[in-house]
Formats: sequence, structure tokens, C-alpha cells
Amino acid sequence: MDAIEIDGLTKKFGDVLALDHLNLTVKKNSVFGFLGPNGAGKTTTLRLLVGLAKPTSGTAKILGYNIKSQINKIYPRIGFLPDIPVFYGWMTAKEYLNFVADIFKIPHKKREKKIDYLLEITNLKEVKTKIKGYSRGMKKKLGIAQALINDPEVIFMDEPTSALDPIGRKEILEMMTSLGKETTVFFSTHILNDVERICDSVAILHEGRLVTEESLESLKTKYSKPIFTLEFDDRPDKLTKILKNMPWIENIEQYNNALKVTSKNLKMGQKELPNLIAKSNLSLKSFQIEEPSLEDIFVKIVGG
Amino acid sequence: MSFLKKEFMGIFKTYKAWVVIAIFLFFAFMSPPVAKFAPEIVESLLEGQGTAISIPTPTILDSFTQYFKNLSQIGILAVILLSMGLVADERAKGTLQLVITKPISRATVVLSKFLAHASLFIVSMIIGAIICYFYSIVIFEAEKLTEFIQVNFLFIIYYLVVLSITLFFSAILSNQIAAGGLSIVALASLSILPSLNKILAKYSPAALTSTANNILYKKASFLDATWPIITSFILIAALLTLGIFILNKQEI
Repeated sequence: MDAIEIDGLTKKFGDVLALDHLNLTVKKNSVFGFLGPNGAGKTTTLRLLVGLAKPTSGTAKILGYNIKSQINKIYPRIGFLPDIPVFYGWMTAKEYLNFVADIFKIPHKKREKKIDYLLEITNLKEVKTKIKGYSRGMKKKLGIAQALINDPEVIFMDEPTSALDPIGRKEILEMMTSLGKETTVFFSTHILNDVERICDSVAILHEGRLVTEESLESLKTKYSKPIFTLEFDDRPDKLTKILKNMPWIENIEQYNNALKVTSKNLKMGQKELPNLIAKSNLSLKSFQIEEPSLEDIFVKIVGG
Repeated sequence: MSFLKKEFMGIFKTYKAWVVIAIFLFFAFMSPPVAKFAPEIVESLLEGQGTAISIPTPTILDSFTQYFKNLSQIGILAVILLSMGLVADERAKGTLQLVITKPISRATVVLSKFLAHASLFIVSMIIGAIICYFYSIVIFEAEKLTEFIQVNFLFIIYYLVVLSITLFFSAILSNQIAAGGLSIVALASLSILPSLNKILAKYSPAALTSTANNILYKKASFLDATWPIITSFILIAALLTLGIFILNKQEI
């Protein structure tokens, strides 16, 4: 059984189609990045999955339970972090976590340890002030802590690293990676670097539609057109002519003794280029492969 | 229980409890002397104007009437102002999102809020009533305990009706000002019911306050309030059920 199975999930706001027949599967114990530009429908999807909004059509299952008819069976087993978590400002972080632990009926002995641990990893242990005085970043961290208190099997996070400083971001990403070993982490983001660092699989959403869903590796293989930068002692005119006839080459640019070769396929380039260079009798000074970043792929896919 | 505990904690930590108690203490301490000295104040104002008005000597009943007048006007307004944001504000701010995505039902949220605030108002009214009663005894040197208790009891039920109306609008709307405004309109409509026909005058919850006044002046017995008490509890249950039903259907 998969952790999340989304089947034709659709949400309309009046005439506006916010989410258009989304189909998606997320494997258990994986970190799944849900990518898309602002307004793509990421938050709407998360709100539908956690029962805050109701789908116009379609449905989804979380841990085998239907979000429409069995949401009460889902809540004890999930954690949720909204984009901007809001708490009772008159409480302290510890009081809020105690309140959440009360809801989950976590026994007092276990609760103390758990709350201490969560405050420790979110760097909130020494903060004794009320939540109303917290910065956005501190609220985000507390949001993460409250989402983890019940040891959820699936955790939904909407933009978990926004509002965090670089150190806070790094800590949260590390925490998410370690979570992914025993928990399914489903998070939305538009920070591509985060996805590249921690995700097993990604889905890209654009204007309410799923553009692609696959592992990061296969996404890169599929969309990446790597550029090989070669530098020789002499002008590689002959080699340029030969390469122009190769079917796996997309583009070649020569700058005196240097060549910039865009390959349609990374593996073909890695295999064929050294052979052809060897045959051309040129002395090679440098050989570099530039893989396009996820950002390049993203821009290409969503047509930015 | 977790949400009820949180509500009580919030009532004390946000000083709401002290504000409500202070309001009722103010009524309790102000009403008896105002009733006692009202004739003298009026006379001193009219002095020298050549107007002769005979004002009867105030009794302990005037003190109680003054107290209940405050309860039915400023007190009711305070209940609406303090309750209109109960659910609406949590929804508008976003605190409700984090709560209802956990194993807690929306019904629990609404009922906990009702129970916690009903307790707050009841306790504050009891404190106010005790002080008002003993202060009145000291000033007027008279007693009317049974009627005073009965009228207070009817006012408590009336306050629960007001709370349930306000909580109903707060649960179905995300704007607390709108919830407060509609509560005032609903309450005003409810209070004109008795003037529409005799049946409504006898059975509707609005009859609680008019019967209360009659009990105080021995124009009615406590038993005359039986039907208004029953219809009030039916209205409270209906409003809470409908509020929860609508909230369950809504997106947060």
C-alpha cells in the first residue's frame, strides 16, 4: 500500500479551476517534493488532503483511508504544517505542545520527553516567552514541532523552509531527510534547491495540472541536456565536423581551441565523446560536464 | 477535554475572566446606591426650577430592578462582544486550521467553547448576585431572597440563550463583527416576539426577562417561567446543533 494515492482530485473556486484531475502516488517512507510556481495549486492540494477543503470531484487515500469518508481515521496518523502556522499567542511553546499532546492523548511520561526533544531540535527550548512575540521563523519551527508530536506516519508540509534563515533551513532540511527514513514526507515548495537536496521523488504542478511526477534522477535524465566543455592544445576543427554528424548531439559551438557540446543524452556523451577525442589525436587540456540544475528543468517544464 | 482545558486556560490567560467578573462587580456595586440615591439626585437637579415631582421612597426592589436592568442591557452587549469571535476569530486568524487537522471534532470545539464561556458567565453572575444582594440588604435593610434567586436563575438561562445565538453566528461566519451584528439583530427580533401574539409572549425564550420582572413584583410565580425555560433550552440545543452542522460542511 502506498502512503498517498491521489485519484482525479479536482477543485474549482467558482469558474476558476485550482486543481485539475490530479493523479499522484507517493511511496511510504519517502520524501516527496511538490513543486510549482506561486498559484499552481500546491496549497489547495495540501488543504484537500488534510480535510480543510472539500474536493469538487475525485478523491485521495492516505494510508489506505479515504479523505472524504474516513478523515477521522487519518488525523491520528498524520502531521500537518501550514504555510503560515498560527498559534494561540498567549501560550508558550511548551504549553502549546502540551495542548497538542493532550489532543493526541499522549501519556504524560512519554509526553515530557517528546516535548523536550522537539523543543531541542527546533531550538526553542530556551525560549520562555509567549508565542505572540515569536518571529516567523520561530513560528515555523514550532509548527514543525507540533506536526511531529504524534510520530506521524505521513507528514504534510506547506513551504516548510520559507521564512527560515539559512541555518534554520539547513537544520529543517536535515530533519526532513532523517524523517524520510521512517515517515512519508510530502512537502510543497518553490525553493528548488531544497528539493534537489532532500527529495526522492518530485511532482511539478503548473496552473492546477500535474506536469510531471518522477524520481529526481529520472527527471534529470529525461530533461537534462548536459553540456560538455572541452579544451584542447590545438583547434579541434576536424572533431567539430565529426561531431556535427552524430545523432546524439544537439548543438556544438567552437571557440578557438575550445568546444561546447550539448548532448541530447548524458550517458551517450559520457561514453562516445572520450572515444572520438582519442581517435582525433588531439591533446585534451580539460573535460567538464555541466548538468543543468533543477531550476533549468523547472523553467523548461513550466515554460517560464 | 483537551480543548475545554485550553478554553479555560485562555479565559484566564487573556484576562477575559477578570474583565467579565469586573463587569458584574461593577453592576453589583453600582446598582444599590444608584437606586437609593436616584430620588435625591433627581430632586437636586430639579431644585429651583419650580417643578414639583413626588418620587416614591426607593425599596430593595428598586435596587434589584436597577441591577437586572444593567444585566439585560450592558450585560447582554458584553456577552455578545466577548463571544462573537469565539470561532470566527480562530478561523480568520488560522489557529483553527492546526486544531481541526488533529483528532478532534469541530463539534468538540464548539461545545467546549460553549461550556467554558457558559461557566464563566454563570460564575460571574453568581458572584455579582451575591454582592448585589448583600449590598442591597445593607443599604435598604430589607430582604427578598427567594424572588432574587429566581430572577437570577432566569437571567442565567437568558444569558445562555444569548451565548448560543452569538456562538452560532460565530461558528458559521468567519468575520466576528458580522457575527456580533447578526447576533444583535437576532436578539432584537427575539425580544419583539412577545409583542406579536399572546402565545409567543407566554412560550418564547424572550418571555424569560418579562416574567423575571413580574416575579420580582409578585405579579407572576416562578412556575409561569416553566415554558420559557423549556423553549430556551430547546433553542440553545437547536442553535448549537445547527452551528456544528454548518461548520462541519464548511471549508476552513
